[in-house]
Amino acid sequence: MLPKKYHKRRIKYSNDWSQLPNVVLDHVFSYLSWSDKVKASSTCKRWRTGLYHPRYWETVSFPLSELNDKNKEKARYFIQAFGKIVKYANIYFNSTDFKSYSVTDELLYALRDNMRLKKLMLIPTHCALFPINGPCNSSATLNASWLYYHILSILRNTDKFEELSIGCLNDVAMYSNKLLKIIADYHSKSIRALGFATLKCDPDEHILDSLNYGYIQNFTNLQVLSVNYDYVDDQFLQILCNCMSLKRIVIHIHSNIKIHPGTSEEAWRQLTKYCPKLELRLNVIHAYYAVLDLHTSILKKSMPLTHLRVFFCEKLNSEALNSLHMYQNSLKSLWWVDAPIYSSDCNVLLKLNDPSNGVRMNPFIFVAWRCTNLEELVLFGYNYFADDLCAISRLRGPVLKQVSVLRSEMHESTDEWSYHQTSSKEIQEEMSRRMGRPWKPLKKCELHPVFFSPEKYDSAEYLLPILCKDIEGNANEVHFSLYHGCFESRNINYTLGFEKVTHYRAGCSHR
Amino acid sequence: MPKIRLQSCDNDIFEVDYDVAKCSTTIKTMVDDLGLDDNDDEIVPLPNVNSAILRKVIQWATQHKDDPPPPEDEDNREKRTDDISSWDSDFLKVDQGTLFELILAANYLDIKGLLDVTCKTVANMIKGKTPEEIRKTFNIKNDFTTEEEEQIRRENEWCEDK
Repeated sequence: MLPKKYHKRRIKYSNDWSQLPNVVLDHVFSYLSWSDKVKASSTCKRWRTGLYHPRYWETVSFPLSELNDKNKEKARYFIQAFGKIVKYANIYFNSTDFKSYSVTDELLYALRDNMRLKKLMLIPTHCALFPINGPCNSSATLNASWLYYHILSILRNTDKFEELSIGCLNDVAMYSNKLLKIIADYHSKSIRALGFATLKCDPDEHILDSLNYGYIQNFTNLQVLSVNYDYVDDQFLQILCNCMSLKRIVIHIHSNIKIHPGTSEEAWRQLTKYCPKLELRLNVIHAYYAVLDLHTSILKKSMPLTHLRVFFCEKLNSEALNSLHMYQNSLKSLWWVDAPIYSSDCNVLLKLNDPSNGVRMNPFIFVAWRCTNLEELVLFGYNYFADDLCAISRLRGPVLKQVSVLRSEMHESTDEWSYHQTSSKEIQEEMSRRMGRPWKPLKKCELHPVFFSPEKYDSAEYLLPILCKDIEGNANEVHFSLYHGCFESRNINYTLGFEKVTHYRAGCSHR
Repeated sequence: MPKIRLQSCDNDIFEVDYDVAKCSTTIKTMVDDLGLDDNDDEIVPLPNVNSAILRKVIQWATQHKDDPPPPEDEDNREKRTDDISSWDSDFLKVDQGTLFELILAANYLDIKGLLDVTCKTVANMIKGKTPEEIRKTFNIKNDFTTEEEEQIRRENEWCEDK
């Protein structure tokens, strides 16, 4: 006879579907769409547990930024339900609201005990850490130390941590060296993405004296790194040569770079030799002086530049644009974004054909002509001829995936040799035909209000969602139109809270 | 071909080819563990499967004994349910009690192919239905209080666009 262990008593099953074993319930759920899962899990308590399998909640965006009574309950639910199981956490919070702070505090506290956590991405609403309705002793420094303390505990408690972004918060960036040390101590082999670049509330804001980037050379799996231009010199680039997995560097250039030593062609050449897949994104933000020096001292021919984005520099640097042909094989994305009322150059693109000026080409056409991989063009704050836009779409055709412009900034050609006046509808049709996808210019109301009332809004509200996404797995998959969108649509984006797991994870470079 | 004898919980004995029986990882492990060979007149008892279900399982395993092992599950992806073969679909034209027992047996005996196809069938019965319709289909008792139902409704709204 067989040993006793095989003679178990028969377990009595009643034919009760609510009592399906966990593993079977999970198996059935794996064949259902999300909405069917939600419905099936609403039938009884037992089936409800099927919805909370950690596999479905690897990536969660916690919507903690707008906390009215209803959203507060939702935020609490997110923290309780997913704080302990989430693997990749994106935290949207309002850095000027004390209520949002206290809820964020709860979440960070919960995340400390979450051993599965691999990613912590902060996405604040503003670059200042001043809760306006907080206790009187609250200050930016204090709040930053509080955030730092939480991040520190999380880094100490988790295993094989992969992604950290400090949400462009300058006050938290003061702790960069300490954070780098902890990462070097605990996660040097696993860290994959580090977001230390900041957005300065004031361009002349104090900066950390030096970044201990020596730690970085031990980060063997580092693929994405964002830092401020202040720390980027030849020595830094040389250190990065040790990070052979590096695929993307994001550099934020703020204002005055007069004292910056700059970088050399040779250092970039070396780096791209060690990291042949490297892509460079330059974000030039409120950099009224640096924007003028772009072509003279910042851009180097050997940079593997894929994205150049200029935000609110109040100047169109045509010479810098004309020099972008240096990146004819690499450049994929070009943004030149200004608030219309602030750019003194707003008509510069219309005056190019002025005979007194000598006939010159719109520099954006030149970029589109030379840079054959240009996928994305964003231009706000400047008037130009609609025909120029058509020329760009003709040059790049379906390679061009996204063109974001304002309808109000497109002008009819007044050229006397031009026989017909292009109507807006015709342009729309031609652009759509050339790009091979439906296209239309944005209306003013579709753009963030900071563009039209800069005194009433904070440009950080527009910039932070864009900048914070820069270290994401595959930012190209993100739907860009959502970013430019008006308050309403952006809020919808926020309150949805979730990002489709497949959307960000599928085809991601680290999988 | 080596044979193996399986005993259902209601004490019927089924003699099956080992090739068929090893579709079940549970049986395969048991046999490997105990080193049974065809000279043994050992009987493998299956105290959780009755004769009617065991007969169905053997029928399914005989049909599928030469199948390649089913692919490993991929995480997070909604899997297809429209790829049930016509043989399987005929085989699974059974009452719900039988389907339920087949799932439990497939789970207990660890027959991945059979578990896949039965779970797919259940998923197809759930798809596109409201919670109330699902409860009706499977005769599930709603054990939520009114307040809990309200809470579930809100949670679902929050989770809607995952």
